[in-house]
Amino acid sequence: MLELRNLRIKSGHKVLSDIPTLTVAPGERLGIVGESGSGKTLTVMSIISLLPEGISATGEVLFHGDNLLGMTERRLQDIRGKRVGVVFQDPSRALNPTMKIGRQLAEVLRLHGESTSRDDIRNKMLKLLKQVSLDAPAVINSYPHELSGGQQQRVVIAIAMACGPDLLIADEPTTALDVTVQKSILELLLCLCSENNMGLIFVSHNLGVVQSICDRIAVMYQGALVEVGPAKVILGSPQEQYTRDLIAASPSIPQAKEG
Amino acid sequence: MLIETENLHFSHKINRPWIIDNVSLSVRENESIGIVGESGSGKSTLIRILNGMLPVSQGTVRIGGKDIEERIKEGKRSVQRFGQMVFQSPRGSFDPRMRLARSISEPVRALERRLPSENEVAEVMERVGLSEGLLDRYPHQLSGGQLQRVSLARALLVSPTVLYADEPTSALDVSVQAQVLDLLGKLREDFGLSLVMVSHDLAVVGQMCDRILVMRRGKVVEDGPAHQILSRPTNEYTANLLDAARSVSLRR
Repeated sequence: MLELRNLRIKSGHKVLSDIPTLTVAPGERLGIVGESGSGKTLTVMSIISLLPEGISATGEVLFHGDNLLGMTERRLQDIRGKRVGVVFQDPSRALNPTMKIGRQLAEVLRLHGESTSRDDIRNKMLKLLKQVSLDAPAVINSYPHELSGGQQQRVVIAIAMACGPDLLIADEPTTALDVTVQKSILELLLCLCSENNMGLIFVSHNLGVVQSICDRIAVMYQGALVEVGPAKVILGSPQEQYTRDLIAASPSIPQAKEG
Repeated sequence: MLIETENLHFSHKINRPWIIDNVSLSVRENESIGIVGESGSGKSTLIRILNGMLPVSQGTVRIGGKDIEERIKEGKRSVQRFGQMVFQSPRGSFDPRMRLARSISEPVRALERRLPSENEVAEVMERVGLSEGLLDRYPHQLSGGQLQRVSLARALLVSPTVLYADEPTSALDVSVQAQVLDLLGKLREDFGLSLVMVSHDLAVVGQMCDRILVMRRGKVVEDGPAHQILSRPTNEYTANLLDAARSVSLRR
């Protein structure tokens, strides 16, 4: 479904990140891990052409065979938000603080969806919010600040899911959340992926979180792809020293003893 | 007993809602205690009271055997020399317009009305594993991990008895986090410090602390040895927290 080929991200002449090849199949959940500055976020932002000003990407980003790099903004808008959804780290910044949730959700449905009738949009909205386990009627009439961080992130996920994307990009979506809330959001993402056969690219510096949700893992370090493979292999028998260091640095909790 | 609270209450308004609701705890010398719980449970508020940054609304707090309110009346110095604080955001802990050499000497200047000697500064910088040359720089020129080391050095300069650490590694990368936690453990041994650490990360607390306090809605719901809390929690809330933490921590 998604294939990156010779993707090189540059700031002027300086190469920030270089990825020879990376793929995501339909329904597959790929985790990208690595330390700050390793190029994780740049890589996923280049997929949807949302790189910061002054930073450019060359190579190919093939989505169902179409190269997204160099595509006109108009065609891109058709894909971004509609066929590729995005969820960022900080939900409070992803939502407009002056608009009720209902209006923000309706806006997305009106822009990307087929139907424009009020009832239709309202029904879709209720369905979406239910899908992310929120109390729909109450949430529709709330402003973002009236919701908790976890509820806000659920709304952001609902917005990203609004048009039934084939691929969801989630950039550290649970880093700002409490551990219990984190768990429930991860369960929600897992469930949405399998119900809709949706692909997922999950960026995180937390190996434990990635382990719990992804079936493949790509490890990045200083802009380069260090290692890619099935999660079990990467975490069980890593080939590269950097991956081993990353695993050794991750704190873990001894599992409960049976009985 | 190093730190003791009895029926401690705290509220921002006059008597309730209680942010800290009837907390009695004690910390022995050389002990390391982890305080865990979800956002808003009162973890950070509690250590701010213990460090004299927030007042006691009801109940008592004794630090080093003396009532904290009496100490505050004598001057905040007595409280702040006893315990020093390290915060979550290393960037937020330094004045961006000050070179680190000046920032690092501020607590000594404020508490002892003198400048720390070059030897003192050189020693703490060595202890935290940084070159002294970094002190000529401004905060934005250092990485988050380096800055967190500088904030540890700054705390150590006033020779505190207790170190309060409020999510000291939450803003750091996992590999940097491991280094800073190692350093914290080493400093604790070297200086015979007691550690009171707030974190939402049970794995981190389990690695660093002898004892764990679990807080929820201002109350301590469970208090016991770390290994016991992490293997056989008796409180339902602790069990849920542990279950969630396990599901997102690395299984080897």
